Amino acid sequence: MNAQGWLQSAVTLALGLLISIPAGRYLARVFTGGTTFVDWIFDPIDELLYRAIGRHAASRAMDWKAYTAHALASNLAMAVIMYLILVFQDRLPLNPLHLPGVPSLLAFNTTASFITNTDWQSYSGETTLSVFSQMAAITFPMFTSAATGFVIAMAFIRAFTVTNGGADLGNFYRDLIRLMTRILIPVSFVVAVFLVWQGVPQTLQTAVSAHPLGGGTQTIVLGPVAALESIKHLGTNGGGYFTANAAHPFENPTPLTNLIFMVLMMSLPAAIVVCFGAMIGRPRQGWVLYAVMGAMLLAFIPLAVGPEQAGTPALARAGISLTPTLDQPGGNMEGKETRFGIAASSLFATITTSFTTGSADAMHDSLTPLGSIPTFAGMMLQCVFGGKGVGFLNALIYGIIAVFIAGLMAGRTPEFLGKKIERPEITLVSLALLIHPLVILALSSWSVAAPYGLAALGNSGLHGYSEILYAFSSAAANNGSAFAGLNADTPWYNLALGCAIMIGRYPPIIFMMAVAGSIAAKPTIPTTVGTLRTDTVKFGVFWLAVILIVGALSFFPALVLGPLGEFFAMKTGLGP
Amino acid sequence: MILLMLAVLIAFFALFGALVRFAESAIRPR
Repeated sequence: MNAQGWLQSAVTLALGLLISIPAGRYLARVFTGGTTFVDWIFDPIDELLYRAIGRHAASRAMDWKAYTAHALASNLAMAVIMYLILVFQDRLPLNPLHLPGVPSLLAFNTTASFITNTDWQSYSGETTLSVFSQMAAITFPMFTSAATGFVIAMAFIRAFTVTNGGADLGNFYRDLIRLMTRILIPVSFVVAVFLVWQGVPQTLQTAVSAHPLGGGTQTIVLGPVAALESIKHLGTNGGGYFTANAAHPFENPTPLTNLIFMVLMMSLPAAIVVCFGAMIGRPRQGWVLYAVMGAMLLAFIPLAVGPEQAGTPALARAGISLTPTLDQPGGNMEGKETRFGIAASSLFATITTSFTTGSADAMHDSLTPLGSIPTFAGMMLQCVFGGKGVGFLNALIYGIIAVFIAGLMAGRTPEFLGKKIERPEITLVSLALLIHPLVILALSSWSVAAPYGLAALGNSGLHGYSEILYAFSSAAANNGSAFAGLNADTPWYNLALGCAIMIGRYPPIIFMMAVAGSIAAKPTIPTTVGTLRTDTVKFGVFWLAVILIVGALSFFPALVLGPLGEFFAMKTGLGP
Repeated sequence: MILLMLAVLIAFFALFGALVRFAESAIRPR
């Protein structure tokens, strides 16, 4: 990695992580009932919304079960509406290109994808969705899905602080609305205005016609893109208005918008860790977790950028200069935008998979085998900050397992933040942990074994396996980015990826909320000299080791069959 | 087909409702 690459990476990370500190403290104020500087604008709006929901529903105390049930019920209601909008878009307004209704399997996949914050897209936005569908079935759930994951994490954190035995972990609707009005809507609005200034369209005009020099007419699709782009990155959503996603100049027109997108993707998932420390009154614990997640992110960046700058033997054989000079970037520029170059593209790919967003400003299928491994790892571990809320919960899954193992090793009763960790918590945490590799590995294997799975591949051999593995990793991690090279709009992939998305999202949330209920019902044990402290550097290193070892045990064989195998095949001249 | 996939979507949430009950039984004091 050259000096420019280091500088770009350092500035981007510094901005994203620095913003997360005040943002985390602000979030803690919002979710502990504190006042904020925008209350005078949004308090009356909140009141109207509470009244619309019903005063009782919006004010009642919810235990873990009620909180989870309301989250699921509201998600189901939205999913049904989204599905119906997609399949009947030809009968709805704002469809000037007269696009037909979305086929039901694709609509199922898209609904599952967007209700869960995954934003996997088996469709091409320009040619499949009407403006109304883009607004109501794509942009709208970008707000609600982001908020759902986030407020679940807030309820989980409260389990460590409440003194009511878990009878009140907050109110789902009140939390959801406060997150929307205090953070998501105002920040998205400001960012959308900034994007319009940078050249991103925000219009209900559907398309303009251009006349290229080669003759004929070209239809250039427009739409309310800026509104989608802002929440797409702030909410770690990732679904693009256009097929090329953030590589499209209407989505991501300048290096400045590219930088802002990366900063937005990092801001809230990192802020939630600061918020965690503030809410439990143990900021040191928050910083230990922050350091664990940050260490993985810092390690991933040179591992992603370095191999891209080094290029491949095939590029060298083709006579391409792999050394950067003043007039060309060297390395592997295949699939990358010349506007952004190698460092910014690889950095974007690392951030979008580590923070499980799914937005892409380069073709991940064209990454070098080694350069693609951090993107796989981000989705497989799901806690290199991860998506908002759920990434944090995944880190706590590993944390509780680390406490349990450390307790066994040291001969002490496992405790986490003053709560005893016993059989029910370990059972549920283990289930939540195992779902992820089970979904990815089982469905990848099925796809490789079935002719209808292989028929959709654009590449054979090790790279073809990587394409399938990436697709299911992306779906189960609720990431949504694509390796590409795989035609996912087939009955099998629409169904299988849709199922992976649903199973990857909700069961871990349910199990972790039950853990929250169990923990909240337990008395808080005072810290003594016999307590295994979890807010020390030593425990942080152990926590990190547990994440890496469990992750490697789960996924290393699959990575050997995919990108690692491809790397060695290239090196020995057996591959491209 | 439209109704079938809608039913699949709803069935998933019914399954998740069952998982809530399972998780509840897992944390219930014995």
